Amino acid sequence: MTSRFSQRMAINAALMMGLVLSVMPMSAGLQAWRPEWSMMILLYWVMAVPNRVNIGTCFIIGLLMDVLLGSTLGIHAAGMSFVGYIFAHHYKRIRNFSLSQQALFVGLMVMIERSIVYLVEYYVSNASLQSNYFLPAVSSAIIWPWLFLVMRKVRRRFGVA
Amino acid sequence: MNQLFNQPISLKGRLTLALVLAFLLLILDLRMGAMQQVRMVLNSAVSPVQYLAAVPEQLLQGVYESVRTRRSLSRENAQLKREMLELQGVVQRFDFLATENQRLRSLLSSESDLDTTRMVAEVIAVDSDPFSQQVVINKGLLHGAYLGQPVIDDQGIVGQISSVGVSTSRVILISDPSHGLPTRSRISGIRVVAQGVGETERLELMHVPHSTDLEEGELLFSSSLGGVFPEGYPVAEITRIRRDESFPFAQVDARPVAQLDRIRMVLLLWPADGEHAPSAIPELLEEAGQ
Repeated sequence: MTSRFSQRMAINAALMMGLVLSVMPMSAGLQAWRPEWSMMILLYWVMAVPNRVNIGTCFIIGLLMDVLLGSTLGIHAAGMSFVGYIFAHHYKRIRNFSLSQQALFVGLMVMIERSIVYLVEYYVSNASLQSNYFLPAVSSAIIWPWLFLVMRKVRRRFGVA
Repeated sequence: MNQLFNQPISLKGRLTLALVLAFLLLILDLRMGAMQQVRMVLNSAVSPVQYLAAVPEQLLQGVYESVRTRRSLSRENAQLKREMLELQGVVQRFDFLATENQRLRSLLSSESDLDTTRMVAEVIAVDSDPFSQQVVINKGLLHGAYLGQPVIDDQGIVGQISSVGVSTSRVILISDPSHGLPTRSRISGIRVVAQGVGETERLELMHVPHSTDLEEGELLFSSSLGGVFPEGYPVAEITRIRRDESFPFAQVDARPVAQLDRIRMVLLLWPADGEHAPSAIPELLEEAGQ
């Protein structure tokens, strides 16, 4: 059993890593397919340790995403809080899903979050929807099983519970 | 494990709280100017993430530079020398013209154009947010960057600074849907506003009458009418004019001259007559550190 402090550090480091991956420069062709890294890592922690990571953390990560992406403050914060709520509410059920079911569910969550962001952006700045806007839902669902296995390793390594 | 349900606020309560807070932030950010300071602090707080995200690309670039062969380096060197020579030829002519222009202006006793100061900045992050076209550069308050500062690249106007952090700033590109840029066409001198539409390869020209003299292929320059961009920098080239009488105005598309989708290095401009000036603090710090 590792100390509470190092567990906390492991959680925060993973979340930070997610933020970095979310803004890392990519070639223009792949840009549209970028998985929602920070959201997936966040959702993993919500599912695994809902007593330590839930809506408050989701809100903060969402706010940081707003600042990093330069969108109006509060948009991603709202979206992340909402999907965080769904995960925190159903964490027991989701844990018992098979990996492929989880992947589909995560894809759905990405879709919901992006829909919220789009709706708010639409009211705020009259944004128009582009056809590739929901591609990250697909790529996130594809990546999820691997991310899940890596994150489980990390969680066990640091004994986060 | 069941700590979750012993906590003082229920899950639903937390969600409500988070959503209300997000809504308040949204209103504050949209309607009040006061959030500019908050944004500056937040931007400075997340700048480590941005620097970290730029590391792999810079490493790759470093590796690429170090494994290049002597031949490709010497070829590039030769090409750069050739370009340099050409540019110097142009500059000689330009110097002459500038002095002549100055003299003519003084003869007409009209106000003379002053030189602008420039600083090179590097793009460290490009936004993946599809609803805005922004980049982050590695110059901020410390270097004298200010809100609304014009940013250009080697081809033309890129955008302006939309928020300043301590050592980074955010640049809103001319292709952002919320950005409009007053321009003047080179040949006919017609004034038009170039509005971004959220695509890096296309701007729309607003409120152009069907009877316009604008032509395809015409180059548009900044007109300094908005008070942000200095006059005479290339902005865009007209690519298509559609005169569909069912619309109140002609639909005119233009392609930005600056390569907005692959900018790496940009120039910050400080107009000479403005109250802002580049700051020498970072250089002083560097000297002190050596």
